[in-house]
Amino acid sequence: MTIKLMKLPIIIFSTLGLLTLISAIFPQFLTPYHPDEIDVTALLQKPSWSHPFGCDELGTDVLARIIYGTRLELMVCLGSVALASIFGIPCGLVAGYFGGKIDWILTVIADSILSFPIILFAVLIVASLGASVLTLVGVLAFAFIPRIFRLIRGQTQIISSLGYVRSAEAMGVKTVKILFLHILPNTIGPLMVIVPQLMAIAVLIEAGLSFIGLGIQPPQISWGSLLLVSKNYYVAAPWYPLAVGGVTTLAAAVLVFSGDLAGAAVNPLRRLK
Amino acid sequence: MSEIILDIKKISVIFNKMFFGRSQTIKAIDNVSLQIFNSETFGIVGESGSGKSTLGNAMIGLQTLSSGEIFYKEIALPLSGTKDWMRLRRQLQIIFQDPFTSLNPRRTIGQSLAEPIITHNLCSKNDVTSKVLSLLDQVGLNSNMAERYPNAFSGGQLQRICIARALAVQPQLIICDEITSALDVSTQAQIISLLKDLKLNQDLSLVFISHDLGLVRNIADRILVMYLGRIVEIGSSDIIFSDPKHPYTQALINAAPIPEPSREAARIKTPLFGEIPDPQNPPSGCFFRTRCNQVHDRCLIETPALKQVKKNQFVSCHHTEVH
Repeated sequence: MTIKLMKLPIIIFSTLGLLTLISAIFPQFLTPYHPDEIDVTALLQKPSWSHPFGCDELGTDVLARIIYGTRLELMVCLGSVALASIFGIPCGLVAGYFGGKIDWILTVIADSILSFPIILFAVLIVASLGASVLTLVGVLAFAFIPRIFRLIRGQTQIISSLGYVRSAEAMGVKTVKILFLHILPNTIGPLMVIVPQLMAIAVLIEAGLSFIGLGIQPPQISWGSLLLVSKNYYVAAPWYPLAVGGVTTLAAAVLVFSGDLAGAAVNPLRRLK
Repeated sequence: MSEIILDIKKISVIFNKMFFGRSQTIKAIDNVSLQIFNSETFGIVGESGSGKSTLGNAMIGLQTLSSGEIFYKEIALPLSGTKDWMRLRRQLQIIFQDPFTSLNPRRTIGQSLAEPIITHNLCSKNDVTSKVLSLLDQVGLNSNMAERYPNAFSGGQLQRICIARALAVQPQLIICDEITSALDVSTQAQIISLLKDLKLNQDLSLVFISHDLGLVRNIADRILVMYLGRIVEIGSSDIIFSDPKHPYTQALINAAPIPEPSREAARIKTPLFGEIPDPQNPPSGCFFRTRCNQVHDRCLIETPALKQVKKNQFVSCHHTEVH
């Protein structure tokens, strides 16, 4: 019984994860409707069994639009975090391991980025480069790099002083091997906690930017762009913005909670003896 | 005496730390010279903060020196990255205090033990596994343990694995940096006897850093007593324990309990008062003068030099001339 209870969150989170993945890759499996299908007889229809979240101003099923919007949402989330990791992880390892001047320079750069508001930065970039998925991913990645850098740098500083790194140095193991074989795998735990949290931030910022017209533009469907359109109908069809906003909030909340779960799951101390 | 393998010439290690724009310097090692001979066991004792571990790291080239030189068999200890560096890495090894953080928790014992073998190309790829198993056997561990992760082992077992890893490259010198202080007493004894056995079977020098005098007396041929980064007394183990000359050595030996109730009760306890001084602003003259019971005017001004008092005993104290 206790084992089942402990496994319950894992089951819930993996089901949600699988659902997200299916909606991103094969959205047609989850809904019979097409997101661009116009039905003039069902304009702003109330939620019903056939349309659980109702219909939008063109008579399209809202649930279908949300499901089809997952793909861009996931691309923005994963893309920005992956891009930030590609730059943030090596910089953090180098700064934390070598210290000194290079550490000082990288940390000053990271702190300067951190002290700059993301939204303001996004407005600047989008205004000069134009709004697109790629710009959005770039802006988010840029904002996430210092967060990942700081985490990896701190972990590296701690791990560098431990016996297994010092023994590897004494053994003459190459520095690259020490960084990527001994230090990096042992930073995975905290990284697994922060990555879903960053993804949650990505979901919220995407929604925010698209809402003010700086992110993904209609007719491309993302949760943010849906929110932008749906706000016009909040009196006539309150379920429409509520459904879109609710899904966005729920996704962010699930991501934050799954971070702690993932962090615990990769802890080597939990591995069976 | 036998061949000198490590010749340490007047080394100093100074740590600089910036703190709110103010630079703080700490002399972790202050002008230390000594030699390590072939297949001897050399003990280093001293309180926490006396520079024992820094000296140990410096001996194998893991600590950058502020001044002075260290020679391994006539070769100056090179800095990391040079051509001689890899060659030296096969000769000089170190084992650390905490066995629980000495092995990568994400690699199996077998992988950890294979690392030095692969790094130095000690045998062909097919023989790595058998080499790992023979290493485990050498330190008295089961061969099925190679598949497991470090969290499945006790501190004593982990320390055996660390010893096996250090032995993998067949080094000339192993620094044992307080390797028993994280273990319980019965395990300590096992590790010490294992080290003694290993030393008998091969040409190996040990530097044994510890604050446990009984342990050092048991294992070491020669002893170095350190205080605030300086040599206090150095000499053969028997002489130092039977006839310590420096007041600090006397106090240390006096503070160790005697494992015999009647003698322990009769022991005159003259505890060392005070704390080790702040290394950022050490006392003038003799560093030990703030805690010494024989202090006189000269100790305030003049730093005592290391002087020979017997065939195998050197002391840095102004009082030794009077003796």
